[in-house]
Amino acid sequence: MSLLDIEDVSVDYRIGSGSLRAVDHVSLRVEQGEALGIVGESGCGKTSLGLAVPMLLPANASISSGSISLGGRELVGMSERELNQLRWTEVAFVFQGAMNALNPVQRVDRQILEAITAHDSHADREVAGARVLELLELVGIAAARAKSYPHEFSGGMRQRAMIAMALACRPSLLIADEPTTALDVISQAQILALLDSLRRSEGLSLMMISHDLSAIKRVCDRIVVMYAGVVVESGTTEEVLGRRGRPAAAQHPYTKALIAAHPDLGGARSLAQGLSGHPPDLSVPITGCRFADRCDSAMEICREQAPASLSVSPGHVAACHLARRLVP
Amino acid sequence: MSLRYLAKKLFTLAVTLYVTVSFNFLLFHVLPGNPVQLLARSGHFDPAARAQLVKLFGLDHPLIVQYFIYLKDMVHGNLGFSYVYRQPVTTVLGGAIGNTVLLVGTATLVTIVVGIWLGVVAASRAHSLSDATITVTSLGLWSMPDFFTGMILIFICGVWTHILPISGLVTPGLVTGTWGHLVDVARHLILPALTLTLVNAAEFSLISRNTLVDVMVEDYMLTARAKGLSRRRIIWRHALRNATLPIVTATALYVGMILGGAIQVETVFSWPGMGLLIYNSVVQRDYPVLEAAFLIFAIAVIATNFISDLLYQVLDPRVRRA
Ligand SMILES: Nc1ncnc2c1ncn2[C@@H]1O[C@H](COP(=O)(O)OP(=O)(O)OP(=O)(O)O)[C@@H](O)[C@H]1O
Ligand SMILES: [Mg+2]
Repeated sequence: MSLLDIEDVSVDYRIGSGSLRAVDHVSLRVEQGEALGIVGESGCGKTSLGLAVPMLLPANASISSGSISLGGRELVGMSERELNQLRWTEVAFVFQGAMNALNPVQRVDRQILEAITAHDSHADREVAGARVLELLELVGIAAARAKSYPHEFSGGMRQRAMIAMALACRPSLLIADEPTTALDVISQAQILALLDSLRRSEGLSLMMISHDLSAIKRVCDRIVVMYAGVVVESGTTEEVLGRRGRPAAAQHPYTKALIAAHPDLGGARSLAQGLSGHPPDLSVPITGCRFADRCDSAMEICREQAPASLSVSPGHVAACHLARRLVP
Repeated sequence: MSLRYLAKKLFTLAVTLYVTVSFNFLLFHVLPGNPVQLLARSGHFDPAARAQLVKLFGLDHPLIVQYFIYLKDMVHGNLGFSYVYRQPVTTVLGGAIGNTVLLVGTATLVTIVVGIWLGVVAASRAHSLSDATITVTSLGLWSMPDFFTGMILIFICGVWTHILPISGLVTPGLVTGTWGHLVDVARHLILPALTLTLVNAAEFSLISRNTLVDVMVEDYMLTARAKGLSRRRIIWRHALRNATLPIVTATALYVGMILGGAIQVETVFSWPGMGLLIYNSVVQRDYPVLEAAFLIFAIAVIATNFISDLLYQVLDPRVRRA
């Protein structure tokens, strides 16, 4: 049984009089101890999918189809009370744009302590306090800085404090939404290395959302590529992005274009190449392939019929009319 | 909060007070009309008596000398002599200040508690029916002048149902013990305090609601939810704690408003406080009393702003200096 099993999930936002489908019948799994990366350009529904897991979507959003099960328990339709027990103890979250994710008027150690005591009201304060310092140390923040306010930390430190807080209740799954986006290159590398090592030392499963393919490649075992609310390709990072001398075996033109836009993944150094234009408007129904308008290899059928997912090799799926089974 | 900051603030406070005191002097001494002219309005006024009065009020000195005499008297706590009550102004004000503090203090306390509570209720169910009800009712109450709200209450509770006294501080001629006296004052306090509260709590709830609604969409609120904290804890510990900053600022501004409101309300309910005193002194041209009352109101507003400034320093770690 997978740790996280997202099955056919759709997320709709009410906007004005109409609605917008940000996530459209998405299925994916995260196995115990696995790191899954989710990529896609801005607005393709990554955050919406991530927030749907602990049921933290904004008030104007609804999960209109599918099921999400975590550790065998169904989360869709669960009461707020039950969800509150699961949040942070089973699934913790590191948010996109962490600059403001810590409460500005509360000391950092208090915020971490709060996470512990909220889920264990009998927690011994001294033990819990020691655990807070231990967690901070784990992410490389000295105990002397524990009593700081968030604004006294650099962006990288804040993100590390956030990660320390996420580990407070020993969750089995950590969802990290663009954990490095707002940071400089050095801090980015530090955070990625930290996530990678924590994953092993704490036995954590990771769902890392990013638009940075090299970050995904650095940390994740598997990758899911989203485009305009749907999964267009998924497979092992090694196969899809290439690793250790093996060339990338991405099948979907969108994935190929993403790779091409990443110079350090061996692609050409031009973002414009193969990726001009914008993703489609999600508030109107789309027939055919969502990527067709931006695809160089688009055929007639692409505009008429949405491509089915094809298993191109074991564990590697692509939703494209051009995809072919790979010869092993 | 650093000593330097405190010193800077105290200096500003001193300057503000000095300017206020001086402005108050100008207001009453430079603008046309003085007590002697006023007394002389009746027409036949003996020039000798007139000269004596001019001397009595120190009006024979040049303005600048009058100014320094005024400052010197102020330092000695001498605020002049009331024309009407024929008593030192300090004695006249003494009783009134206590009554106003009782009224305004009660109203402020209830306003803050009720206003914040309503704001929390509205904000935590933003855009729901209860939010709309609270917001619309608050807007309605807020837009009504204090005296008008007071008159409606007088009509309902006094004239119509006779459940509460509508005038004064105590029932005239009532002889009771200490306890009975307290109850009597409390009963008299209800309507004027309620009037002040209705208007101001309405404004306060709107301010807290809007501040809270702004705070609720901050990233750290999502973190608080993700941590699995109870709704209650999220609102009171995280949202309200962050919303206190604008609310403290609003409270400081509000003191100016409530003092203004107190003049109307005390007049409507004949509550023997500073407000009623100011009203009567205006009617009777009792300049020294007016002068002192203005000064006290101004000082009250300045002091509240000073306190809220310091409070802000304590509440917001981002502006706190080590
Ligand atoms: N609260 C909301 N109300 C209405 N529409 C929303 C809301 N949040 C997101 N959307 C829309 O849903 C779609 C998906 O947004 P989402 O934030 O999930 O994308 P994303 O992949 O995380 O993008 P980014 O890389 O910019 O973070 C977008 O079209 C966005 O405009
Ligand atoms: Mg996002």
